[in-house]
Amino acid sequence: MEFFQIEVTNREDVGKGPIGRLRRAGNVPGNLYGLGRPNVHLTIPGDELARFFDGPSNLVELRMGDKGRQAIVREVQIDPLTDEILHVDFLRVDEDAEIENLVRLTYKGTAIGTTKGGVFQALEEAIAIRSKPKDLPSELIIEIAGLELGDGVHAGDVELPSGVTLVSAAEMLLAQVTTPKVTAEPTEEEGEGEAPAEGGEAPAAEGGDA
Amino acid sequence: MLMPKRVKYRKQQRGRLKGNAARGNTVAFGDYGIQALEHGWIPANVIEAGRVAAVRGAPDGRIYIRIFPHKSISSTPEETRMGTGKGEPDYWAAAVKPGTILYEVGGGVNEEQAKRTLNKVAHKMPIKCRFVRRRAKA
Repeated sequence: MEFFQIEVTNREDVGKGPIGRLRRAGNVPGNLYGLGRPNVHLTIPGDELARFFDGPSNLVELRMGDKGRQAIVREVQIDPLTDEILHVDFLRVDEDAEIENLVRLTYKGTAIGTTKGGVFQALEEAIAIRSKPKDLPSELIIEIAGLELGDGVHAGDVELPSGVTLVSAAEMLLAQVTTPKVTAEPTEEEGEGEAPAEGGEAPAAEGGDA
Repeated sequence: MLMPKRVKYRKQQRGRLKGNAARGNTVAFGDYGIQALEHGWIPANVIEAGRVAAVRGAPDGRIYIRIFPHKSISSTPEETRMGTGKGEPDYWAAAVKPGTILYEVGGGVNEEQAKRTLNKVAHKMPIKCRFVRRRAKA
């Protein structure tokens, strides 16, 4: 994976007043830490950060003047209402040292079991792996077409690219095709739900007539 | 209908709903959900109506109700003279702030079906809501 370059500036201001002004100007506050060195407060241009998150890479080279520091995104804070990026944490990485990171899983295909009445359930959306930064995959694709009713995919079954080792437990269940036991339950609940709904409608209808 | 099993005090003061939801604001159990965009009280019967709509819309899926009516709402009977004190508890409601996830669906429900189902649920709510997806961890 390639390092995505972002021009950042060192930030002296901390606290909600300066940070609010910074966000209103279209920038995002961030932090860079790791490798036993002191942490650095950063100001990141919002549009460049958006381009970075749209791309496949998780590796970033933070350019501060003529210096560049390689890092990965460790944490992103997102406003739950407006979906704006509030803050980004970057972790310094050494090009030659292995790092642990979560990688997103993408399930591809339609499981055979779902055509026989099963329900595909993705239980995990990411697994932990260890690799050198350049070997870090942007996502892991899992083929689920062969899954029969009752079958599952475990972390140990995932084909990993060369240079990548699994950190999550090999027996961790990632996805499965289950028989829909819940089908009987909702119809029962639906029956329960109907009574008050009808009861609620009746007085309203009477009121309308009057 | 949902209601507390036991409470210490039957009647509550009205309170104020300030700010956005600081918790319960992400899709945690299912794959899709509806999020409140306004604040308000959601009565227990409305929560139940939303549940029924969700079950009918996605009979094979799993439904998660993320709010609970903890708040007792009292009301005074009609034609009551001034000074008779606070009314009796009338119904239970959930106090909801903007950002709260109200319902979630999951378990093999595709996005189109989830949108259709949760749209019906959102129409029963007394506040504006929006459809949201689960955010990836990685």
